Amino acid sequence: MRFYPRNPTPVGLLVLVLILVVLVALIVVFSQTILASLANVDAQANTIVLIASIILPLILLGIIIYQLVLLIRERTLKRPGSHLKIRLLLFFVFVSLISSIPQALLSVSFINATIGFWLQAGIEEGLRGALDISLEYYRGLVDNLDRFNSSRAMSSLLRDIRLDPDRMWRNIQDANSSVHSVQIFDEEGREVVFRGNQNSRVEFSVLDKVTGNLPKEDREALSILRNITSHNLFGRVYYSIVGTILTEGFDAKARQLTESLENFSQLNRYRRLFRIVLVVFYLIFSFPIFLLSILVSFLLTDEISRPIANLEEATRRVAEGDFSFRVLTRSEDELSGLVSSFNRMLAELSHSRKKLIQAEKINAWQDIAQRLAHEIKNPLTPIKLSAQRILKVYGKNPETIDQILEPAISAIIQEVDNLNQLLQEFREFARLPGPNLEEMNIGQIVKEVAEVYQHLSRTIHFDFSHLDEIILRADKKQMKQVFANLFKNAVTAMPAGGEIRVSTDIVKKENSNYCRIRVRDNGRGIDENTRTFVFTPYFTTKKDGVGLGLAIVERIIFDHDGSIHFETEVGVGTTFFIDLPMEMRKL
Amino acid sequence: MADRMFLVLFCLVIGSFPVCADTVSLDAARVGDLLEVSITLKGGDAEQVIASIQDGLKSEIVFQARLYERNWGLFSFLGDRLFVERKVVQVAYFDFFEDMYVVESELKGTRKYEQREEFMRDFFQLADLRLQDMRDLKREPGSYYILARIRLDPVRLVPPLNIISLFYSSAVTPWQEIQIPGHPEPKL
Repeated sequence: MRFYPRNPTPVGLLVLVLILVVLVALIVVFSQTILASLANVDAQANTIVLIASIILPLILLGIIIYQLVLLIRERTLKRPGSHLKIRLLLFFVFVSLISSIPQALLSVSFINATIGFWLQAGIEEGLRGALDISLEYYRGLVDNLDRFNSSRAMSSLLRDIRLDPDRMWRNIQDANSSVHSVQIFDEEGREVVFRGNQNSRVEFSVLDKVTGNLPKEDREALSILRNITSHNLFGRVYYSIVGTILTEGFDAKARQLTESLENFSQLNRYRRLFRIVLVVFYLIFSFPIFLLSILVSFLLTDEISRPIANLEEATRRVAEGDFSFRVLTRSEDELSGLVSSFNRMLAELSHSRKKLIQAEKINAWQDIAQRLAHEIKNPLTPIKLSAQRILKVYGKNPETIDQILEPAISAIIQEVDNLNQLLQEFREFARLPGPNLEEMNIGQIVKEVAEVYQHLSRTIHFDFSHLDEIILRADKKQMKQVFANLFKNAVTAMPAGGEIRVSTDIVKKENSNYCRIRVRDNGRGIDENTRTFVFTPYFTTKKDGVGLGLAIVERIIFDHDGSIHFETEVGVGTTFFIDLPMEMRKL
Repeated sequence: MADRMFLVLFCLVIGSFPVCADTVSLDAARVGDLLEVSITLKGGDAEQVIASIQDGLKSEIVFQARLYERNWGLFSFLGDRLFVERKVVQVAYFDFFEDMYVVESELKGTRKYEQREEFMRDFFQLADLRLQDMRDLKREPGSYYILARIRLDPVRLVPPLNIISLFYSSAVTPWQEIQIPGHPEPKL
């Protein structure tokens, strides 16, 4: 018989590597794409992502639970290598934890430290301070334009509008250096004067004669603040627009400032939730990888333990007597050397065992031949003597032959009958077939057999008070023969009569239940010299016995995977114990 | 600790399936050959939005409108066909320099408001959204209908905080359905 180990390892490893690649790809895509554009992800997409992040670990978890169930089942059934597998698995998981737990702790503490660094005291206050300063500066400029444009001084300065606009512009600049442009419109919206930075120039039509501060206008990198006020000059209404240009990049910097403040404000507001979500994210990414490492552990465990399990299985089979078992290995490692040595050892053991069995067979046959020769020789002597006597009387006194002929011939016939019986029983013993198993009531069988002996001898009493009706799978005919032989011996052992007590009990040996049948007689017992040979074929203490009765009993019980032994005390009696398996395996 | 963690995770998972008490007011009009819709959020938490933007944060509202073509007959179990979908995002914040409320959207650019009421009205409303050229609707009247819903985030989360929204997003209104003008509801 050959044992071919399962070899799914390369395929399994390939599948796991593929899963790992998919997992890493998912993580990369997830982090690069989805996280980068989370603002566009709607609730439905969130749900899909969430479900995906739950389903993948669940699938891996399901596979692991399935593998665990298989492993526990293997352990329960005491499959070879299962204990080693569990220990290896625990070892690998432990190693995974050793490597992942510090990493997890490091990551979480790094996240905490980073968030703590971002939110360290003063940064948000500093940003708010910077914003306040910027706002103050900005509002100062706006107020300054408003105050200046609506002041009497401005009205006075505008009087040069017709005579000398350049002088008016110089005076305005002298009076307020923040003003970078001035633009005068008449009541009809026609531009009268413009002086200063051309970027500040504006069409009056868009103003709609509204006085006050105009909204800030952004032109390329510049931001312009304006104020419009009406003035009565020379009996007419004029609109003056004074403008100031903010420092280049002010608007962009102010925007950056408000955005930074927004970021910090949000971080401050949601930091607890953010920390939890980060930890959850970490778990979502790391947990499947951890599960994958457990799956790899299963595979490696299987890979490592398989040759050892095969060897264990092989030793078990050898112990059961199967020497044809061989372990095959495809690997080229140290274990393969061990397997080769083991196979060589098995081959040699098998060869030696065959020789031993052969020798035992020869010895057994020699022994049986000697016993048989002895048993045959015994009746030959009276046969020969009877025949010689007939011849002698016939030769000397033929007229008296009538007197000895009948007893001599009767003696010859008797001895031939004995020989015939001897050979008949020998043939039966040699040809004893295997048991034909069927469900039977052992108590009923015992009573049926006992009934015969009860009729034969009135002095024998049977006690069945402790005999239960237990159902067993056994050969009914052979069981009858067992009890017939035992009862026959018991009756012989009690010539003056006595009691035969048959009782049953359930006993447990290792993990199996057995039905124990006790057959006790209160006969003369078996002396010490005879006890060793009780089950030996052709050993008998009876004059008319063949010596095969108990040998047949032992053989039948052995064929039923059972056992038999006895306890005896001279003058007290003998008890035979028969143990038959409750769940008889099919032979 | 484990119980608390579980509770937080449970809340996050439950939070990803939002339920909203707000409703959508949906109107559709045919302007020439164009089908225009106006979507308004009713019952939106204005105070939360104002508090958020005056704290220097930004609020976001997403208007989503879909035009469906009914799938009748043998293959109706497959569901109706999505004919066209428009999604408009409006972001609101407060401009501290100009003391003005600002609403930005790709569709309508940047709008500034001095008055809070005017700002809220415009922020919660998307008027005259051009959804579809009616000439492309070849099927019989009653074959088309419009669905709309609104998602309001009083605080628009910035990266990397927006990963929170993977587990917890703001409430989304239920879909509101109307028939398109000139296409009466079919008699079933």
